[in-house]
Amino acid sequence: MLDECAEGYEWVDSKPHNFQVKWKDKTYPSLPKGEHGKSASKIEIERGHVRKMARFFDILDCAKKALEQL
Amino acid sequence: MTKPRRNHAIVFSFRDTVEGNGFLARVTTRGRALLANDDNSWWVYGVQPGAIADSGDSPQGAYASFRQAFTKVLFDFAAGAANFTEFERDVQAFIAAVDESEEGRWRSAVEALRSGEQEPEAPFDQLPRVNADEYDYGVVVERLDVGQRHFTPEENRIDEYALTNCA
Repeated sequence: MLDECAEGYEWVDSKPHNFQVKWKDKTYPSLPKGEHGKSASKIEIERGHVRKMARFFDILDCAKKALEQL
Repeated sequence: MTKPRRNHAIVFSFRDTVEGNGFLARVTTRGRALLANDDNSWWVYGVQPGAIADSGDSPQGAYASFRQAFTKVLFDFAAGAANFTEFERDVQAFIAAVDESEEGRWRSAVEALRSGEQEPEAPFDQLPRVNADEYDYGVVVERLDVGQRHFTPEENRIDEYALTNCA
């Protein structure tokens, strides 16, 4: 979804509790690391968190097209 | 008969003490958020700060999760900051970032309550009320590990949260 809707975004995986997503001049610092820890291939993030991040970045319409479950 | 609201505009005040790389900081935040029932769960969506949310099975559970999530963000900032100045910069930026689309929903919820269009149902009817326009939003980041700092119990604060009132 971010690849499609937030081209050039940066994914930060160096924090103890959350993933950070940086895009343009905004930072979303609170995507919680779930039970699967830091393995990027097994990330499970509740859609409410994804929807909230999409609203914060003002890309919700694009995000809904990319992720039907939103 | 008024319809139950799905969105509830709240304000909150948190005080956190955070240990960082070579510093001890106190963060006092006064913010606002939207409590909503989405996907059969309760969610607290940050308005200011806007880049945070969390959920629970009940409004109280969602609020507790949101409170813990907020502290975790501060701890992440502390872990990534080389010094107090960097920590303060990151916290200030986080709190200042308003989610503008969420703010629209928050204002609609405030107006619905203020106009009498809708009444808060339980458990929201038990919350204290504050005037949304008079609440002083923002953050104060203080460094505590400085010489001559005098501590008193009067500085202790309990978390507060309230429903924005209907005047």
